[in-house]
Amino acid sequence: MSLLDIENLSLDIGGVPILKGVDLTISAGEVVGLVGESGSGKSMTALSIMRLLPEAARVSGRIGFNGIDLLAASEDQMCALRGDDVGMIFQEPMTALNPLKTIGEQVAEGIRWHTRASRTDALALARKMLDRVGLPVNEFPLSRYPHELSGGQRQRVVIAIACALKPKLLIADEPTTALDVVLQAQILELLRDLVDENRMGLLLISHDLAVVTEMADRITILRGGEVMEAGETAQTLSAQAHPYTRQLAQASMHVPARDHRPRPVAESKDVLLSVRNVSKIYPGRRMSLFGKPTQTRAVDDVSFSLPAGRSVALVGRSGCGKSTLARMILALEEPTSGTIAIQGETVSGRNEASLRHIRRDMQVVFQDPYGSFNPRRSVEWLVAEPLHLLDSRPGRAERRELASQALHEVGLQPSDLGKYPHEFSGGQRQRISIARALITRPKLIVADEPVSALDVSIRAKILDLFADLNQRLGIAYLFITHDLTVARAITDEVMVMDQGRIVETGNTAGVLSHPQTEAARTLVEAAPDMHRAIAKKMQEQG
Amino acid sequence: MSDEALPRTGFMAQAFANRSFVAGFVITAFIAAVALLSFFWTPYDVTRLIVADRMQPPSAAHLLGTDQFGRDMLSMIMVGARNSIAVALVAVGIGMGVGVPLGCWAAARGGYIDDVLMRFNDIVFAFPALLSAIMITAIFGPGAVNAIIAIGIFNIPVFARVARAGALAIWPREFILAARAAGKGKGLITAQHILPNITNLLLVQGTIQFALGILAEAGLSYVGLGAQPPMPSWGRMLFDAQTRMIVAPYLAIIPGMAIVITVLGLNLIGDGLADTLDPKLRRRR
Repeated sequence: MSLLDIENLSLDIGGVPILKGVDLTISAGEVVGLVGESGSGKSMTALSIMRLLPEAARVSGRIGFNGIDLLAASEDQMCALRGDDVGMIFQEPMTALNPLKTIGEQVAEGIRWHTRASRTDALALARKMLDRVGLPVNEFPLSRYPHELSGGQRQRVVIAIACALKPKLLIADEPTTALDVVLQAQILELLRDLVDENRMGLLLISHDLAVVTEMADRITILRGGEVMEAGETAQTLSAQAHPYTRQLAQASMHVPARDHRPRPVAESKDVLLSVRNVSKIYPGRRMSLFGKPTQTRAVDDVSFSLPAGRSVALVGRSGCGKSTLARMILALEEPTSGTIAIQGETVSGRNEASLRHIRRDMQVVFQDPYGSFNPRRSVEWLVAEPLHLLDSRPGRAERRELASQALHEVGLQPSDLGKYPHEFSGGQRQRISIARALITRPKLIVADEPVSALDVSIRAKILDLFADLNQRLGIAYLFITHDLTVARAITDEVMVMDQGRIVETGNTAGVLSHPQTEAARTLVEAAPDMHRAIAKKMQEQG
Repeated sequence: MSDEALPRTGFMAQAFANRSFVAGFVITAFIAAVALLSFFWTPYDVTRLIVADRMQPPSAAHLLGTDQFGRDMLSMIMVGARNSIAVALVAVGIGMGVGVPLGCWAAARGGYIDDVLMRFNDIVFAFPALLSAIMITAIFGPGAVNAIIAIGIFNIPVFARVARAGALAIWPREFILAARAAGKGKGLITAQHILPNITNLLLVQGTIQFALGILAEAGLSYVGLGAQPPMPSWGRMLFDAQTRMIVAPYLAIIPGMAIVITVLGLNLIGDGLADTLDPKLRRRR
């Protein structure tokens, strides 16, 4: 008998259907992947199991867990189950912990509540659990607060809380989406081990097909609240019997068609961006009232140059200094030392007025398609904003014309000009963001994780767009990412950054297949790879 | 993550779906209409004293009765509303007009300018507002104008603080970085990006300060430092009524109720706006 048995689960919230007849089973010790794009109902399925749905939700069907019908269970029964037999891990480790409580207290809290254990016993168990998830007590005493830990460490605490009482079923909702690839690999390995040790059932929810392929025994693919296909992972993904499965699989490995022929020598000799011995030191926090503040070296003596029309990736783990470097290149922050020059003109140490003609040649695309627009302004206004940099202030009609041209460039309609950002989806907003970057016809676009917040199929389209613009308009890119698939897809060269330094440079294919340095090797090994995972799974099964 | 942190467009439309906002809006609109009406028409002239009619209880001729000089209470309440609203509104205007630019400037510049402005703010906050307003009007002479200035001064740090906090939350957002990459200076960014995104916060604070302003004006005129006779004001009416509380309690109850209802209406608006601003604060019903 399976541990969790969802039959014909349907859900509507305020009359809007969210799930339509979802079936799903999980046995003890089994990992089931639930895959789908945003809005497909993955998280709502998880919340239905926990009975943590919003109040306006109406559910029908059956969720059997260990012989109990969860949909018929009373709230008291559910309280006894949640956190005891069913544990849950959330996506955002920054908000899943109470910032005012120590990690020890937070792990012990659930233990005390469910087992009525004494404080000392609960803390002893918490200590053991934190030790198990890789936070040994001599390095991470129970008295630590969440803000003293990094993102990966916090996610370990969340896992410790969820697994402290050895739940029969663990639900992990995008547990690694907020983490970089290296941390992701570590957390996934930890989850895998915990499943094996305790014969837990694990429901792994993710939009990342590669992650699920590596982890899951079986996979369920969800779209628009309906199960498209379900089955054994390796088989399902290699056969790709269902058209949507094929579409997802292809999108997640998508490589835009690009011209890889070596460019004319004259063109690539033109140095567009040159960075010489650039460092950035942040003053740290003062630890005592009269003490000297400690310093953080975010970027440490970095030098490189970028030829015109080239597309270069800057990869590294979170916190390695890549975004700081990008901001210095964009003259949004001053380097502590060193020089940055665009087409031979120094960027640093200038005032805004003398920066104008330089800024015209470099624009930026940010990661978060929601945060990068002022919600109170129309698309026309937002896209035309960089026209502020032109010396001849274009008139109203001309601005409109240029904005509509830029929208056309990224595949949007002129009729979108009058709309507001909230009327667009994440992928469309990212297009608007690119349109805004294009409007001054820059020679360089710095893109800071431009596709990591997007679903795979949308990501593929945006990558195509970037590649197309590079070919047609000859724009050079500096792509900042921790995702090697993205780097591989659209860049000629890659620079690997680690702790503020660039440790390895080379052409993309070379560095990613034969990494020379430790930092690069760690990144490459940690990156989930769907082909590799399927092959491995097939081999295991013989 | 999403734009939930920032209010969406259609803010006022959402506010009108909020029960406390609508209740407050109806009350406030009524008071404001009465105050406006008093410019053109009142049942009786408030400057004419008819001693023969003094201290009459409410009747058909005088709906709310008459005071110790025979003036019609309804007419006085109407003109008093005008006075209270004008004083509070202008005081809020002074607070916003000075406080918001200061707060935005502090947030944009940071560093020592921020420190100096905010410490100065703290100092103003450390003074007991109403007592200091009494002191100011006592020194510069009683009257509506001085009351406005006194109340307005103590509104400045409130708005400066709200504007600064709101602006600081907007500054690190990516669309500000994009605007900086478009070469815009701090002043232009404040005007085009920061201000539109903190107006809702300021609106909420504005209604709260408006309500407090009406209370402060009533307090000042109660101690005789607000609007001077013969200009009727609610606070002064309360003062005049206190020696006659036993004989004619309605003399105190009527202006008291006027103050309570007006302040209640404004507070309901403030609550409704705040709820609309932050859906997470909305209680479950």
